Amino acid sequence: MRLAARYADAANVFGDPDTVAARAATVREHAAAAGREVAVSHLSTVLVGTDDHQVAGLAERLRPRRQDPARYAASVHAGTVADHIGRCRQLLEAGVSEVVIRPADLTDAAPMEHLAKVIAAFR
Amino acid sequence: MSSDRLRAVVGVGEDDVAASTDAFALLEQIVAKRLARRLTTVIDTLGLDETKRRNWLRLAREAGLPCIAVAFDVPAAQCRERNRGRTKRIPAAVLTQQVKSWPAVRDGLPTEGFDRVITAGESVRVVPESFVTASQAAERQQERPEVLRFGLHIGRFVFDANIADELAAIVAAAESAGFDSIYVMDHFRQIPQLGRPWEDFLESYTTLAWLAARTERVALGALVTGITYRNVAHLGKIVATLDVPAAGARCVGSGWPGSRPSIVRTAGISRRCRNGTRCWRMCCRCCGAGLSGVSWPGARCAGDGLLSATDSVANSDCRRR
Repeated sequence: MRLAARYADAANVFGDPDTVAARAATVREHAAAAGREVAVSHLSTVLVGTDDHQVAGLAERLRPRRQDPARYAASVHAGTVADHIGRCRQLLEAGVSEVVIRPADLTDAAPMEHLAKVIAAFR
Repeated sequence: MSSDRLRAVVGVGEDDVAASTDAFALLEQIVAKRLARRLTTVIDTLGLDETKRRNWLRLAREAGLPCIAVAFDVPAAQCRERNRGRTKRIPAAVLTQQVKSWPAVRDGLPTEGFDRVITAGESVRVVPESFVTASQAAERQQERPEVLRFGLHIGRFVFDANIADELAAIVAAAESAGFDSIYVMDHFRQIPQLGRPWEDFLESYTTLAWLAARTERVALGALVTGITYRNVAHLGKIVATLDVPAAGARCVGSGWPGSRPSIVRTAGISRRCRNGTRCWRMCCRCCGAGLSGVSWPGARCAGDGLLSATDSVANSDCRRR
C-alpha cells in the first residue's frame, strides 16, 4: 500500500465496505505523506437480476453442483438492481471511486442490461 | 426445514401425525448440523412450543448467526376454513387448542430475544450478508446522488459462441451500458478461483489491443499486470502502443504475479523476479510517471518517450538489475 500510494494513480482493495474503508484510509494516509492523491478501486464478482425470483434462478443455474445455494449467492453477491445500487453506494461511502464488476454470468452480453441500471443510478 | 415434509419422509405422508415425534427428532438434528456449518436455515413449522423456539435461538447464537421469528397471524376463522378444505383434517379440538394458545405466543415473541420479529404484512427476503443494509444505502443514493466510475472485469473467455464475436458484443454492450473502463487479467492460464486451467484464456495485452480497436470511450487495462512477465521497458512500450488504436484513456495495473511454481514454469520463466519491489518501482516509473504522470483515471500513455525510446527497451532487463 505504501508503494501504491507513492507511485500508483489508483490502488485496488478487496473486502466488505468496512474493510475497504479501513484500507482506503491507509492508502490515503500514505499518499498524503508522499504529497499525492491516490484513487481507490474495488473489484468483486457480482450477479444481478431484476427481482429475487430471477436472481435465485440465475444463482441456481450458475452454482457448482455441490455448492450450497446460499453460500454461492453470497460469494457472487447475488442480488437485485436495487441491492447493487445500495452496495455500490456503501463502497462509494467507504472511499471507492471506481467499482470494478466481474459479472458471474458473463457468457454473453445479457448481464449488461441489468448492470446499465446500476450504473445509471450513479450518473 | 419443514416439519410436514419430514413427516412425509419418515412416515406415510405430510399429515401422518403418528410420525411427528420422529419427524421432529430429525428436524432438530438437521437444524443443529446446518447451523454448525453457519448455513441459512429456515424452519417451517407450527412453532407454538416455546422450548423448541428457545433451543433454535440458542443454536443460532452458538453459531454466531442472527435468528429471526416470522409470525403468520392468520385469523382463527381462516384457519378453520382451510382445515375444512384439507383431505385429512386436524381434529377440531386440536385446532381450537392451537388457535387459543396463539395470541399469547404472538404477544410474547418480542420478549424472547430474537433479532427481529416479523409479522403479517411484511415481506421477508433472504439476501447475502453484503445486502443486509443495502436498501438504506440505495435510498441515500436516491436522495443525495453521487457519481461513481464503473469498470467491467472480463476474467473468463468461455462463451457459447465464437470468442471474438462474443467479446465484441460484450464490450459494445458494456460501452452502451455506461462502463468507464474494461479490464482483463494478466495470467498465463485460467486461475482456480474462476475456472479450469485448461479453459481458453487470452493473453492480456494482445486482447486489450484488439479491444482498443473496437471501443471508443472506455479506458482499458490489465487488473493487474504481472510485472515480471515482460521486460518492464518493453511493457511500457506495449502500454504506450495500446493508446494508439483509439484516443481513449488507457491505464495499466501493476502487481506481483502469483508465486505458484507450476504457473511460472509453464510460461518458460525460470524463476520469479527476486526483487519484486524494485521491479514494481521500475514498472511504475516506466508506465506511470515516466509516461506522462497525470492523475488516474485518464492516465494518457501517449508519452513521447516510450513509443520511440528503443534504447531503454533494448537495454533494460529486470532480472539483471
